[in-house]
Amino acid sequence: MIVAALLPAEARARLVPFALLAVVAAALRAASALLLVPLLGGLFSQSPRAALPWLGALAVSVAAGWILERHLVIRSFDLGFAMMGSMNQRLVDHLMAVQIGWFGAERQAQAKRALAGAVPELFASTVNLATQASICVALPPAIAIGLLFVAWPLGLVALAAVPLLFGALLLGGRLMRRAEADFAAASGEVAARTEEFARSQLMLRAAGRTGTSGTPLGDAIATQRRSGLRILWFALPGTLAFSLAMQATLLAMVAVLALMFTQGTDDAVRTVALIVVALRFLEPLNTLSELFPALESTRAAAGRVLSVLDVPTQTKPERDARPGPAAVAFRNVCFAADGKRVLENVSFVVPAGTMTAIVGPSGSGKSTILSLVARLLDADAGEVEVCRHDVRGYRPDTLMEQLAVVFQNVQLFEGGIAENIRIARPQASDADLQAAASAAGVDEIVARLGSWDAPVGEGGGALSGGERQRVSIARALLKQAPILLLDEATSGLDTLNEAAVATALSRFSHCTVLVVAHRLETIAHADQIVFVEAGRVVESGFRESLVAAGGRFAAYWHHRRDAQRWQMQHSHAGALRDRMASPAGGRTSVT
Amino acid sequence: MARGFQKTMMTALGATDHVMTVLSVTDLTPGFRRIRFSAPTMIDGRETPTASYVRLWAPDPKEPGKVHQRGYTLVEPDAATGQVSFDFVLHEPMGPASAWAAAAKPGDTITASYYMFHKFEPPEDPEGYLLMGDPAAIPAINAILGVLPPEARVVIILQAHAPGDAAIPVTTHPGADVLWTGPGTGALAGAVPHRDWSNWYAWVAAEGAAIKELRATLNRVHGFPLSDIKHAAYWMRGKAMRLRKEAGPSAGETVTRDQPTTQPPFVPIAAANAAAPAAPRPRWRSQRGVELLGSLRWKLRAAGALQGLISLMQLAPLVLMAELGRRLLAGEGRWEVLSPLILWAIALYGAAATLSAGLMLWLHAVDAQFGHTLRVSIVTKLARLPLGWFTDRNAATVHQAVQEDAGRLHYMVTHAVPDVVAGIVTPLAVILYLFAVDAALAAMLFLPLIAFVALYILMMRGVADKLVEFANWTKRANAAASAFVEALPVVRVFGGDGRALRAVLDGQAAFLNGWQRPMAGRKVASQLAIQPPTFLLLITAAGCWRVLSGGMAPADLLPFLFLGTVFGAQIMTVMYGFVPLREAKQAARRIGLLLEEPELDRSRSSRELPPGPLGLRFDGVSFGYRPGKPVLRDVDLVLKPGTMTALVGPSGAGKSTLAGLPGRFHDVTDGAIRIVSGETEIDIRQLKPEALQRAVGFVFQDVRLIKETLRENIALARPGATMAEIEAAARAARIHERILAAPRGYDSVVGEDARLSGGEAQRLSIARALLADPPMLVLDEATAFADPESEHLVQQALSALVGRRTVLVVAHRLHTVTHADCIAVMQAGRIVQSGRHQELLARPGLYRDLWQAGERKSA
Repeated sequence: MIVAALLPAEARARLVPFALLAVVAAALRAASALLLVPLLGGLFSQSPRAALPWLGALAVSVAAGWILERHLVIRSFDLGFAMMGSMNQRLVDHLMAVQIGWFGAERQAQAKRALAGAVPELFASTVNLATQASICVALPPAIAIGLLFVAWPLGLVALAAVPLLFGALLLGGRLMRRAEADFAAASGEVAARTEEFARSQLMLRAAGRTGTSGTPLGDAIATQRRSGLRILWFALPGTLAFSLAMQATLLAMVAVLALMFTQGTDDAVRTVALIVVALRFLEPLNTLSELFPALESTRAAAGRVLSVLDVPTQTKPERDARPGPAAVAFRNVCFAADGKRVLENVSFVVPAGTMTAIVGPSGSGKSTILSLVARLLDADAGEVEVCRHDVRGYRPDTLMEQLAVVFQNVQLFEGGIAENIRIARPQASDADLQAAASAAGVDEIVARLGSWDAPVGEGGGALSGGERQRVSIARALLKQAPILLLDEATSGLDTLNEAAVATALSRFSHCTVLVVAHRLETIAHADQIVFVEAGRVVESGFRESLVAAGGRFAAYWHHRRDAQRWQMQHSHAGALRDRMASPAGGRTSVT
Repeated sequence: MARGFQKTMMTALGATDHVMTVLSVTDLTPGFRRIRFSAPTMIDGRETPTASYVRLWAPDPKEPGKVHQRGYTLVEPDAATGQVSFDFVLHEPMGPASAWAAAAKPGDTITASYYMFHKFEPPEDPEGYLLMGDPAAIPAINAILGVLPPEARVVIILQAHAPGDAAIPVTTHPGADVLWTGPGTGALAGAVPHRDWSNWYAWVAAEGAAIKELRATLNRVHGFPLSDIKHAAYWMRGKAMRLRKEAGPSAGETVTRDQPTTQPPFVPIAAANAAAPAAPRPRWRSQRGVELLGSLRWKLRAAGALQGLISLMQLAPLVLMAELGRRLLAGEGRWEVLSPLILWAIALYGAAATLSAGLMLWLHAVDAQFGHTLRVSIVTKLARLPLGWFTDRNAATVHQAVQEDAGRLHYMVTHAVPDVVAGIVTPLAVILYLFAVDAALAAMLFLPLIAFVALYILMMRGVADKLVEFANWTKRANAAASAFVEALPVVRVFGGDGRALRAVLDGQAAFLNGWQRPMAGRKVASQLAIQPPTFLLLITAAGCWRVLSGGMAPADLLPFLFLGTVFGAQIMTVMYGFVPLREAKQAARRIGLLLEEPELDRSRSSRELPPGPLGLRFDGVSFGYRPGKPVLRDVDLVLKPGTMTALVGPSGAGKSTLAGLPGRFHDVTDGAIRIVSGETEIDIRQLKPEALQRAVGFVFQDVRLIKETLRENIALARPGATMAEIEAAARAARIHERILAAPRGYDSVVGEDARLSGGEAQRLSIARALLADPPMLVLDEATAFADPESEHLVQQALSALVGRRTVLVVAHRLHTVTHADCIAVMQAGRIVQSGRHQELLARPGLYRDLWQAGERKSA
């Protein structure tokens, strides 16, 4: 069962006694119900006092049930806490080891929901539902078996009804779930289309397409309306299946009792008492059907947790490799994400103490190269070497000791600025930290926020993108690892940021540097250019010789130089407008 | 009220006592005393929302050992030191809290409890805030004034109980008018000026009876919906203060006194009222949600009634079976006697099932219609809002309305009402029936319920505090999980181990353990109390006793055995059933607010575009997002046909706001923007919306593609365009080749098989603008350098787009616009300089400073 998968191994053993005790508790409840037969027999007889011993027995079994159920709930707390503790640890451990490449925005949200929402929900369900639900599952068969001894024909009917009733319950639930999912999907589509509609107002109004007929949004609304009614084709049989099964069962049980009564097998008192038992038999199923939505949402929560735990993790080597000179090498590296090829046979070498700039159009796979070096992703084929060893040969800590990394979209931890920089080298002195920070232009941010300990907000939200990158550069400066991996920001490059990037590059001038470069200055300073296009290295070498060769890089270089000098002005060639068909209806244009 | 019952109830409902020690006593005015306390257990870093208050337990001055509770607003709580102040009004005759405060000296102690935060949560953007109260409410009013935005309109009406009260310091607020009225229960109610209060939000706190009268007046006379009045009775006249007579002038009379210089000018209320014209019936945006649900009201009521009937029909067979049992026992075992009962039972079962299915069908049909109308009105509304409304924040508003709130309303219509009705009708009918059978035994059925409620209350002890703490833990866990997941690359690179997240999750688990486990025993006891076996034992035991003592016929026990156990199980269903109903009401309110957003004024928009080349004239244009906060001031600018005008200046100068105005993103607050064609000038507000959209095209940095084919994305503005025209536009925008490289070429769908980079999306949007071919164009130059790698292609596309149109460009890099026909330099919402590049460079000023700074940067 799904619960078992969520429990730590040592707690899993506790599930069996829990289940057994739940069965005993159900048996006690069944006994209380069955005791009604002799009790009522006595009460309705000539000497009603004959009922008293049976009443005593009933009291004993109900009281024993109380004690047992109380004990079960307490046990469910143990299970719940064991589950919560182990779940939290396993999720964090697992996420620490998965390929970062697994994380798109959607999966990030999934992981967050699992961590913060699903685990407490599972705890709450374990504590609140486990006892009730397991007793209610075990109770109908328990009463049915008991009935075999009291009135066997009725017992047989009950026993036969058990699978029918549970089947109808599950079928109804499934149909209902299916219907709700359909409806939710249609509603989600309408909502997404409405949001798109809101975002695109400027454009849609210019197009005069703001109505609901003949537009994608109009279609989605119409679809949703239809599916709102279609939900019934699933929901109706879903609810009917269960209530029909319940009524059919009751009818069958009453029929058997009537038959037994007319044939004289049972007297009136026994017949009436057995009707009461039959009602008791159906009662837990009603309870279960009321618990169904809660059980469903527990199932969904467990599914969310398991889906995160199912993500494959990266391998760790048995023995740690020993880093050699600080070089980086790619040998025939291939990498694909979501079935799409990102890098194909990429090979190049960054000799120790030199700087290589990776250049190319956006979406060509430049940042992926850096992620492979830092082992945030693992190559599908080929080798990525850092300090003369395949990155997969290092323990994570050893690899990271070789690298100082500045990413493009920098995330900060909630906490102060100083704290965020210090993470690069926790034992660094305050003087070192300040030096790194002011070299990266972080003191300006500190001046703005007023303190080194001023909170940077969730994910660094109190800082601009450029400021976050400066904090990240300060981290790299403080770390002073042998290899610098730098992903220059494409947008929001302000003067201070450019200066910080330049400082970082000059501080690492004697180290090995691999930089995804956008600034022409950075490209100009590189010892080697690796030009990447559509996941392949198309050219590499010295800038001067590549420019002289007149290939792809040369074209890129010239375009970029020209772009910097571009000026916006009216075209006097003005050819396009004249070539295009004149616009429709009542419009005047400037010619 | 005395401690006794009330205190016990509050403690039971989750209040915990905190002891506070007096640190210092300061008299702000002779009758207004501020006492600073050390209260480390109370001010422990938990959230203390604006104007939240606690209950002080003031000792009774006469009877030792007796205490009275009083609400006091937290003043300057400081979590670091665990200190807080409270302001006391010292009036004769004094209430217990005042009496205590009057004698308080450092070192004294008093207890206080948190109970139900009094959170200041006005609806979003009310027209203004009406704050009313007596001196006791001033600390809370001060707290509220401290958080209201400075541009908010505020009317404060304060009631003076004693002549010195007007000297009590009230926080100054630039938009606030302060009125004082005299003592008396009806004084506050009588002091509300007659005016149009539409969409105002009222916050009132004073003596109980005064509040009651005030609420009624605000609601009936001034039209305030009760949901837009937040009220609190801080004390009760005659009850709490045990005043037998009211001191001071009678109700409604204005107190005249020397006006302290620190006070805002005194406004005689009678005069203000007399001056007000008879206002039309005011309207509140917040009421739109109620109207929204109004269309459903009779249907939901009918559904509720039908569900009630169905519930009874579902119970009836059980009643019939009990009757059947009774007849069997009476020896009437003949088929002719029994068969009608059985047949009726079956028929009722079947009828109930059929009706239930019918009800479900009908409600879904109602919901489908309602949902459809709702969605269409939202969409229609969106199409009528000014373009400037569509900000990121409002994108969230739309998301909330269409994703979450619509779902809540769906649930309410289809499920919530029948669930709640069934949850109430079933046990009620059962208990009435059982009372009819045997009242004594039926009364016994309340025992488990009483036990349940008692255990539940016992369990909820301290829960108010714990729930706040739990919410904090949840918030922290969410934040830590977000931070961890988002910073995962960094965590990995710097060898982190997720310690922070683990610590928070462990803390959360430990908190739950420490909170829930001690409760487990009581929790299970309360649940067991209402489980079927408990009822079974109770019914049989009490039944045996009643039968043996001869008080009841044995057969009367049967209805109890058949129906009595249904009773307890429904409690929780009803308790939880109301939550979705409340949520749906809030959802309706939010959707209602969206539907009430002010629309673009189209009343005068009837004119077509004039013929000939088009230009634009900004004539004394001022604009502000909020009244009193202008973003643009008195802007004059002329865009001659076929010229290029550049807006430059520091960020925050208002360039983008100004650039949006020609498209009526917002309407100007003053002045006008006119389309100029030869001698004709037309205010853009008089143009048909479609005509205006055709006249002015926009290419901004943030590009919106819709989830359709690339062809449709380009042809969006001209759905009738031929393929040749689309391709020509794509070629000119340098995106044609890229489109051909996509899997299905022009038929590739955005977001599915066409994933465009920033620069590519830019070029696609330029192609779109080329095809739409507007005579005037507003551009953001930043568009060109959003994607350095394809910057030159975007630039070529922009050059093609500019053509010979009339262009207004927001420029970030000065050197790209040196060829502009006119450069307008903006600063703080004004145009401070304008002219050609060379002219501007020749004279000292902002432009030259900016240019030189740029030169230094690139040097």
